[in-house]
Amino acid sequence: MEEEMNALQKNKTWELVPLPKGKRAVGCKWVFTVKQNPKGEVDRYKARLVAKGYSQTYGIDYDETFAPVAKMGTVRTSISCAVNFGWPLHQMDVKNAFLHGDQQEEVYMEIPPGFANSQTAGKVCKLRKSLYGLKQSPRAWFDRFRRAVCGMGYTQCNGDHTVFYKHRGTFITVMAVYVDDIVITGDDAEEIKWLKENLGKPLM
Amino acid sequence: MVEGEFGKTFDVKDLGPLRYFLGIEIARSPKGIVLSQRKYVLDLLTETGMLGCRPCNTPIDKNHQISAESRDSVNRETYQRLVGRLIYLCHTRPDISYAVSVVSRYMHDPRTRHMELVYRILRYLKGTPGRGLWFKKNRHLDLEGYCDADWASSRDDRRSTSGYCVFVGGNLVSWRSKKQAVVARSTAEAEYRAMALSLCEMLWLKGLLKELRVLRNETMMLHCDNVAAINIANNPVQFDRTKHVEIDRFFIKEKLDSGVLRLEYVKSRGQLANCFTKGLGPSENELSCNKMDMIDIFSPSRGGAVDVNSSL
Repeated sequence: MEEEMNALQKNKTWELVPLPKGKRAVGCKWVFTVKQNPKGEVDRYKARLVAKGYSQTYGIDYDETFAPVAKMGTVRTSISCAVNFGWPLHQMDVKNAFLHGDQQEEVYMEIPPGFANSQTAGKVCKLRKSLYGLKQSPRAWFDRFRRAVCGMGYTQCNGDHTVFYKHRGTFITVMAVYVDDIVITGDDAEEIKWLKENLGKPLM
Repeated sequence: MVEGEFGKTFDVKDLGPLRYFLGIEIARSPKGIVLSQRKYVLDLLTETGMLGCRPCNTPIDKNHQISAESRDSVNRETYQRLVGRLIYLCHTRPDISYAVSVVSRYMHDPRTRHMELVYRILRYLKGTPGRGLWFKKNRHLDLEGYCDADWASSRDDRRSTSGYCVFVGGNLVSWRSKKQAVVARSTAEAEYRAMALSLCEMLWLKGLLKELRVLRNETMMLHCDNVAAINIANNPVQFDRTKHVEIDRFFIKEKLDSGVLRLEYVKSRGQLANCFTKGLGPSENELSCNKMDMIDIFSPSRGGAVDVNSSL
């Protein structure tokens, strides 16, 4: 819970403001999960602050919510390519992915349970970044990610918008994105190494 | 992350080689890759209390006569949740695709009989929890499809079922079992719709591969076991009786003329899309799984014709 709160604060996810008149604050709560590895053993415990997005109203709190996820056909096709050409397959994930999306609409949220103190009294959180549970979060994150990788010289694939690729001479690097899970394959070892090192760096 | 540069960085974690993605287990060896959802199956069986059930060797009866009116209503939420989990399982299990598509037709009004079908699928999974898709190194990326239709199979509205599967580079990557949206008046017409549906998918895959510049062979091969449908496709002028499927007809003809598509007759025995349009018997089901390159890396004895130990 502390870890999540630190991530939220580091990210400047919100600022404390008094709730303006005529606005409504969405609720929030903590969700605790036990992460398991494929063998079913306990991997780690995880706390996640989520907004109660179901109380948001279309047109007032949010507009567009669609965000693409990789089609499984695409993932299997990439795997078939990798097998047939002997390409390596790598996997990466983005921590707290949804917290990186920029909040477009004005959204106010109640103070997270357990973190109320004298400074927060009478105030609410005005969100600057998206949060898990909000209707528009997946879209905001994907948009953010798309701009980042396109800035790294990748092209968004027309056939599946969650696939990004880069050609260098005869070499190719392909990346498929499923929300915060990324699969990377291709025959350009140098580029893959560079990509892995730079995906997390400041970009724009 | 530098203070003040919020949002300009992502915290990215390198997880190394692809092993576990969205609940799918990925095992790689010099001979290929196997995708399976064994843990997902076992979790599902545990949750439903079916871990100790008697296994069944097919997911659905060969001549099931399922219809909407099948005894008492059951809890809709439970049914929908269960079927939803089965749908997710279809990512690595084409062998249950047809059975799952049948049970998902009754999501809005599930009855006791439908629930029994769901449990039947679970019993089938119990027998083969580790079965998954095997991707082999065939050193090409040719597109090959199989399409089939089961005419007027739905007892509720006499619509037909389309089924197809598509191989990319000799590996099964895409498949579907779907009840058609309109009634077909002949088997050829039903086959025709299935053909158009599979062609759409193949064209999409082709576009994807072309964009990545990895496609070498432009011609796609589509196998179909209905001679009449192939004949109409090759010569659309002759049949007055197919006027009403005009769009599909000209769509297919256009692709044939431009040379991107070749239609090939396949005998019913070699028809791989069979299992997406109807229930199969036990031996047919095993054969079909072998042809789709499904193996069980966790239990070599059930791996069928493939010697798992030497291949992985």
